[in-house]
Amino acid sequence: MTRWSTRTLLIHLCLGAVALSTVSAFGWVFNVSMKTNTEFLRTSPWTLATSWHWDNYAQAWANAHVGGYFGNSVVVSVSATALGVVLATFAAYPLARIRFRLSGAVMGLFLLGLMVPWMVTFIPLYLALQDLGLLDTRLGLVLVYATGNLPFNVFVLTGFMRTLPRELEEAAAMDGASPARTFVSVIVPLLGPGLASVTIISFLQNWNEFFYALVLIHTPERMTLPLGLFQLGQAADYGTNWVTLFAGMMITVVPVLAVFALMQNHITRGLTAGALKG
Amino acid sequence: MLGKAQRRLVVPFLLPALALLAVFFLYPLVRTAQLSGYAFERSGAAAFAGLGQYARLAGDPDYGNALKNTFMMTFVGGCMLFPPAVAIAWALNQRLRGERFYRFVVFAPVVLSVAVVSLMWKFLLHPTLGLINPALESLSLGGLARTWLGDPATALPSVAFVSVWHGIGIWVVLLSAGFARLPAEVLEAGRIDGAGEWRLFRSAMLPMMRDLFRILVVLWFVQSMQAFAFVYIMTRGGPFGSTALAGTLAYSVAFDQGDLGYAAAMGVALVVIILVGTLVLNRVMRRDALEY
Amino acid sequence: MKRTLAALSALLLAGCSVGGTVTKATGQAPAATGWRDTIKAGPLEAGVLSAEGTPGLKLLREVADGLQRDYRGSAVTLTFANTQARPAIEQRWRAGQPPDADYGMFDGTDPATLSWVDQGKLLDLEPYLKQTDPDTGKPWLDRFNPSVLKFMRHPGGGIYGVPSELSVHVLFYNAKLFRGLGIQPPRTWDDLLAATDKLKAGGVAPIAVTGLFEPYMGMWSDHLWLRTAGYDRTRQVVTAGKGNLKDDPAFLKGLTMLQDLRDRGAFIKGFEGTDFTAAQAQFFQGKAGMILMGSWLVSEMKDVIPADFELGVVPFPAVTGGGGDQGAVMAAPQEVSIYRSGDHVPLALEWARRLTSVKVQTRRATEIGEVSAVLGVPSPPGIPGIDALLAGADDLRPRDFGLMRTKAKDVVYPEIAKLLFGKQDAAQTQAAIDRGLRRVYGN
Repeated sequence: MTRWSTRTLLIHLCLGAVALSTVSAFGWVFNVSMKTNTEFLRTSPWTLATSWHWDNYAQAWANAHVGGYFGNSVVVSVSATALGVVLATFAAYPLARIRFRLSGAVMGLFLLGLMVPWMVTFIPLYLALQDLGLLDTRLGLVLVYATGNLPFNVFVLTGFMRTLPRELEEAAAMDGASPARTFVSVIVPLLGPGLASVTIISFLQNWNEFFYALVLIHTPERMTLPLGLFQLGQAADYGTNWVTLFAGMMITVVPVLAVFALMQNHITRGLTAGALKG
Repeated sequence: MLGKAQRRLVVPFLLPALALLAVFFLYPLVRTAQLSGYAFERSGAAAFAGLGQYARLAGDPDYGNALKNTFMMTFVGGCMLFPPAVAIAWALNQRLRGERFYRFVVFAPVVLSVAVVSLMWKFLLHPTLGLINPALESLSLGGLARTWLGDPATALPSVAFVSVWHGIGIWVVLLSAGFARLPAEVLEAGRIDGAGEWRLFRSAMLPMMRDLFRILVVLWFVQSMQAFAFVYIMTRGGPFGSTALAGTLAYSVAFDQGDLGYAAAMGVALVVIILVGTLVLNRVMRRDALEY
Repeated sequence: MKRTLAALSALLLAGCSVGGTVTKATGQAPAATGWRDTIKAGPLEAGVLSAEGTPGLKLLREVADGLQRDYRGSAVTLTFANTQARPAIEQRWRAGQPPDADYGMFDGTDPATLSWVDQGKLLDLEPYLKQTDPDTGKPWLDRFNPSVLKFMRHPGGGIYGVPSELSVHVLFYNAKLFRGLGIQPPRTWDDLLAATDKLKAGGVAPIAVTGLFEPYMGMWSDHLWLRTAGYDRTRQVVTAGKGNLKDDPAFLKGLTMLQDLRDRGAFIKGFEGTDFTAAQAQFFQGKAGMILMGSWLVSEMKDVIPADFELGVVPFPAVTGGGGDQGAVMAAPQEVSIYRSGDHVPLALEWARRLTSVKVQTRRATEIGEVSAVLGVPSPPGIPGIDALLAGADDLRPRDFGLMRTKAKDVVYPEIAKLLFGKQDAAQTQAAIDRGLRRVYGN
């Protein structure tokens, strides 16, 4: 009994340390977002803001065009994430659990997708979108992001599907279910945690993606939030307007954290459901 | 018979994803390979150069140095990442009080933008105004104080640390999904047989998650070989090239110097290196798998 | 998989052309005489260097609004086109859909930028600059300080950019601190060394510098070489790739002087790990007495400069007996260029004309603190003495010898950083740079 509690204590201590570093980081960002620029540069990093400057938030909201950019970011990230996760789930299934010719090659292709640095492929991608008439459109960005998510999603989901026992499909086939039906009603429900992970990670990537948004979109009405944040960052670097950048940061971060908190509930529920069935 | 029925799913299941991949990834990739055969001026005017760019690459010590640093970053970062990530993921699966809170805070830094995280750590690591050195001194460990980002010996590990600090949440999420998928009965049986947690962890959990580990290690390798943002913001490759990476070098060649063909050649070479590295990693880790 | 890839690549290679030059059919440039009468309202996109929410952008927006008022039906979009936004903007230029007016496309002293002109992307402004300007009654061209003409002119003829501001590299010092310690502003290198010793004795770090951005450390060697070896000589070696540093003892002399400065402990403690914002903040907090920086320093740090701070500027100190240019000042203009095949070239020209008018330039100087290349514009009040400094300069020389856009920057500046960090001495630095130059230029 004592051994158990020492161990729990240790775990709490270690996790507590990790938690402390995160909480302090967010505390720091929040604290800076409440300072004046002079305070930020002239006092040591951890001095508390002398008074709360909520006006930094108003400024960040206006300068980063948070309203419109936020909407674009939501539309683009959510659609791209959904598309990327759904297509990857379909693609991962045959790769993980069906033997077929070329399966190695196809897997290799997806793997290749992980390996290409963006800073060199952007010119051809730009031209491809230009040819397709998708340049400077949100649809173009959605397709590019979804494609960008695919390799990672396929890779991870394949790994998860391989851990499922072989007998699942055999049993379903005995019961007379078609392979497609088996996939939908037996395999997919068991993917709960895996799907949740890739969804979160894809969403986050799409939400924060900067470079392709910069290259592929140039009409202000179609821009996403990272472009707004980038401008705040420039104003910080070349005009020492740091506090607005941090306020902008908080504005973009809080909704994502809220979504994550909700998603987290979902994972837990998915897990319990799996356990009940098992 | 089941196999045959299943095989009918292969084409329709794979086709949509492959179509996207072909248009938005494969096509640009092939064009990139093609670009690497040309010498560019900033304005996009190009002259055919054949394999000239690759010959140039082979004799370029800056690229060699960048590759060496990139491998170092991958290795050092991997060592900083995986042990704590596994430990945290394991701990989060211990039916702990406050588990949801911990899960949340471990993941939270991931949503901060790289720019802000880099900026924050640049201040914290500042040799005189920062937090780390004064803290070390107050613990009478002043001897450990360094000019972290300004010393070629510590700059690369420092940047690696910051990027791990920022991104560990993702790996914890993936690993903890792996832990959660472990069959509870097997572990329960082990416990009933009197196996300690450490033993269970080592001889039951880790082997069962080997496939996941292999995937994650490969992912880490592939990702960190392309690392760019933290170095670009924190050190710009300095001091004296000690943190220059394949990604930052290609960026500077493409955009500062406008040498798009050479940058494309760097990119293609990097893809080949990553490809080979991945195959080797996969091989090695699969061979390990045979042991149990 | 190999086979699939090979087949696919063959297929794709067969069907595509290289590059990204989808040049639009080049339209006729508008006639120069009376070009202002041909201005038609329309949409106009202008690249700008000021970020969202800055006073600089607000001012530009007012100029744009003025254009919209005077040419009803015009809509002027200001697109951020600085630093990290450049890759995207340059790709738009390559693909034939650039902004109508943009920065960073041309610098007559920097061979790397000339290819845009050679590709026929930029409008030759010379004919328009020669027309009488309604504001002054004299040609538009006469507005500009003659010392910036070499930045505007293509070596092969034609003018492809007009400067909307000028960055001048100067030595800033803390005037109140200097007065308190009885130090004269350093005019010569010996003055600088004396000031260094007195500041140290007074308990203040002499010089703030960042160790995390090599070109800013390189400013020191750039200027020393300008004084000891001269602009043309240095440019020949480091940028044009002709010869080595060891061919001229003046280079080693410059490096030795820098080593001497280092050995006196002139650079602030911990500069190796200090980023440029923090280094600049240290100067304005009175923790360091001097900083060598571009004139943008003041507008950049405006918000955080204490009200009672007294700023002084001097040109980089002269080197007594040095064989180089003692009176030259290093500078870089920010030039606006115009897309030759745009749909609204006269409107874009009018944008550039208004941007470089005495009225707008005066506002930019007084409200934002930009140094102007236009004659008759007061110097920014935040940098007292900059007008005298410019008037006293023999010549403006391109900053960093045009090194930043060449591969040689990666073999020169890291070695200078090693010298400053105390990792090597002057002779080793020279040898290392020569090795690098031989490799890059194959000489």
